[in-house]
Amino acid sequence: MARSSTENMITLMSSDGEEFMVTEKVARECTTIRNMLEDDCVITNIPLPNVTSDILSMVIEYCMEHVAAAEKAAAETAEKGSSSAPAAAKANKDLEEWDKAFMNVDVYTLCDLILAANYLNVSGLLDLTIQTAANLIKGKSPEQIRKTFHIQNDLSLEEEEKIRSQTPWAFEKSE
Amino acid sequence: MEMATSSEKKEMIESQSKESNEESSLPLLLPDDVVLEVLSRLPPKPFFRFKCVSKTWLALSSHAFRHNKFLQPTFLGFFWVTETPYELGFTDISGGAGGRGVGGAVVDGTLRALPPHDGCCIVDCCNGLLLVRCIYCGPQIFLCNYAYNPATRKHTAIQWSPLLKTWPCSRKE
Repeated sequence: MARSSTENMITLMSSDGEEFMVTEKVARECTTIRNMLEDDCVITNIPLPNVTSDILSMVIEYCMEHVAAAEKAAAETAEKGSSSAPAAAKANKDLEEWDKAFMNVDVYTLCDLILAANYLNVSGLLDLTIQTAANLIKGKSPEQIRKTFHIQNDLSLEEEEKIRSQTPWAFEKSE
Repeated sequence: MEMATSSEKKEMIESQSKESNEESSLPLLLPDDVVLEVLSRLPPKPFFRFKCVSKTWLALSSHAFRHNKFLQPTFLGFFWVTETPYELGFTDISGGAGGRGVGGAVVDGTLRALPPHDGCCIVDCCNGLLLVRCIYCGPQIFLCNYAYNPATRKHTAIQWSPLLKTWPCSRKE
């Protein structure tokens, strides 16, 4: 934490006016912000009109965790001269576990996170959230998918029957 | 800005219609490129189930088909052999796929990607793999069997069995 006082701090402002102070390093995890900083290096206050405070705080949490993990790995490499494979594998696994726990959210939050990750261009988070959405859909029947994502079925019975008859194997019970 | 003096009744109607609007679906909320990315990660079964969720999803799925890493076009065709003169070839009947598979690869119909040899024949085939026997002529003649994937052009040598002493140039039916 002592280091952070010497680092550039940047204020991110959510759509509902809440301000978040983060280190430049954390802010740079968002490619959109990194580009802004590179275009104009004196920028210290960035309004993000598309992201609510709830979601922004989650995005920042994700970026901080991943920056911390990368720093820890870099420090270990510098200390020992070369990174030891088992330690690196364990760190990776820990981060994966963290990601998994981080994705324990409801569908609306997940969609908001995807939108925010897409807008802020946080590639790691975008990848994680999209994979989570794909996993949500994977084992479900069309009815369950509609229920999960609150979608109204606007296909007529005939249309649906036609789609089902094209690939009947996709609708068999066994996965 | 909406007028703050709207009656409660109006608010109720609004909240009701809002509710149905707020049955916000994934594709409605998310930009198409993001949904396409979700679709590209679905294995075949869920991908086709996805199609009959709603009209929007159906429309998106037809665009997503070519992006899906699990749904690349496959080969459809057969190898043939003539006995006199001995000739070998591959006939592609996939039509649309044009004999191109994953990554745009083309079926190696003449088995030319196998290690250099003096003659070869297809002994058997199974699940798109061929069992190919190659002959090498030199001071001593010897044979070598390969399991060969003509789509990826990868091969593995299979141990020669001393029981196979003849040189069957066509498969016994």
